[in-house]
Amino acid sequence: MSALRGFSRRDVAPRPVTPTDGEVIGRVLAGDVAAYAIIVDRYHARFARFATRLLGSQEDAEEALQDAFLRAYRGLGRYQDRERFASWLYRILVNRCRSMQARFARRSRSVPDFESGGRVAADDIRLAGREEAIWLIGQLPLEQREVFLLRFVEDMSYEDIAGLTGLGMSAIKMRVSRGLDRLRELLGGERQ
Amino acid sequence: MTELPGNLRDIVTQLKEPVTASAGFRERVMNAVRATNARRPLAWIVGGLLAAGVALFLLFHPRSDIERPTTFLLLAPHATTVALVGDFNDWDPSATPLQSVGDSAWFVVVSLKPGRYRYSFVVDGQRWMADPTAARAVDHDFGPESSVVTVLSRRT
Amino acid sequence: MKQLLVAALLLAPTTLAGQYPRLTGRVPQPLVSAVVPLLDSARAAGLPTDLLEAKVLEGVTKGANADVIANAVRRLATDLGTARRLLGGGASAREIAAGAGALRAGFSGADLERIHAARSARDAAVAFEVATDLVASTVPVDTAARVVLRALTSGASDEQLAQLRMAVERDVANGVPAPVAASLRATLLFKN
Repeated sequence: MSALRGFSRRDVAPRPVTPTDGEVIGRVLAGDVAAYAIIVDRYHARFARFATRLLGSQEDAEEALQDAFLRAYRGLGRYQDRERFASWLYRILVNRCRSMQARFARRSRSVPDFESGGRVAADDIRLAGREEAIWLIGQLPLEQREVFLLRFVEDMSYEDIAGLTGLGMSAIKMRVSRGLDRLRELLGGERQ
Repeated sequence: MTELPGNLRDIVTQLKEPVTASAGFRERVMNAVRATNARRPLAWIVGGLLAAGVALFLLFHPRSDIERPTTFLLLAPHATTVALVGDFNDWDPSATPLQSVGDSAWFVVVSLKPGRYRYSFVVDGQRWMADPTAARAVDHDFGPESSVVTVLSRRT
Repeated sequence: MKQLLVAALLLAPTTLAGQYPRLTGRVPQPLVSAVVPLLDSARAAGLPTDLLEAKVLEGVTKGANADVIANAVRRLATDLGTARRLLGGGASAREIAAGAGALRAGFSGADLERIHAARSARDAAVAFEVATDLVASTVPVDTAARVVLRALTSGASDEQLAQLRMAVERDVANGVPAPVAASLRATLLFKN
């Protein structure tokens, strides 16, 4: 109903409307806590695959997402509408993912690691499926993996990536290029 | 625009597999969101009272080498017991039990010399919880996470 | 479990009770055999064993197995030794401990020496701790080192360093990228 603000009800035929993020946030801040579920559904749909690929595990990704949603909720009063909610929430999410990864990386130092940095034959990749794909991109530092996923898996344009992450274009392009170099190395190709 | 070579395209195809939410994800988040609401007023009251007590104590004890009262607060509505374990009590779960206030807050005030301490909470004798409001410890030699508190001396 | 522990006490060598009283009654026998030699050699090298004992007790309370605990003790002893070597004979126990923590967080020996030198005559413990905490907030190691060094060369007190840490932690919790928060807060607090 709130989306019809400013229009006379006689002018527009009633139809189901999708509230904008700003409208949902307005409702939540006015006391309609249950409306936050709209945000949760919307952004889980949008970020779940990204977070799952970033961390390599759906369980970890959902923990990071849940934490991010909770922090975003607690910070709603401070959230400035200067930038889009999507990129604000995204940065909280990546921050959570980074913390989680740091935690696991330190823990795994005390147990033997399987060898990283070795070459993997290209044919093996075609046969081995998603686990190998996740292992491969896991060899990238998180910043490179992040933009690789946004660019090639989420199919975002560089402009959209810049808008979402707050990074500059040259930083994004450099990370993509380094990530591709690294992946090519791992797959046994020549560095270009 | 960068063209992906064939073997990288295969990888991307794998990674593009959609991911659906696990059952109950939205409910878990919304439960936590509602719990945040319910707890917040109590946390402010308890936190405020304790902070006031600590501030008064500090005001009248300005020496830098003295132990400072340090408050540990945890919100754990379904807990039966909560213990504080850390560097300062030899990680002994029986040494420093927390008292409950209201139906979800637990607290204890411990006198600590200035320094940096790693600590954690043990709920019902078996569930580990790091302090959600504190910094996480960097080293994770063992599974459950710990938090860090730094007690400042008065004169630095 | 409790009965097993009592039996283990009866069998425990007297060295444990004599030299490491904090561990008495809490450490099961297999762990005693693994850990006492480590503590003894650390003590012989003049390293503070109280931290090592605390690490043992932490592992016992967290239910880790003897190998994992022994590894953790070994690792900590190594880091303490390295820190003491780098910081020199005049370093306080807290400084050495904090230096070991910083090594664990990923700072290099050179970073430790630079921070120690920048602190001139005064205790660098808080500087190391703040640097470690920044990394725990997901600030990259090189950014954290740079920020702490800049603060120190601007004459920052321990209290100001602590303020820096708290401000960065708040910013990161609100979704600011960690390296940005660290650089920005350092600039704001130390205007040189």
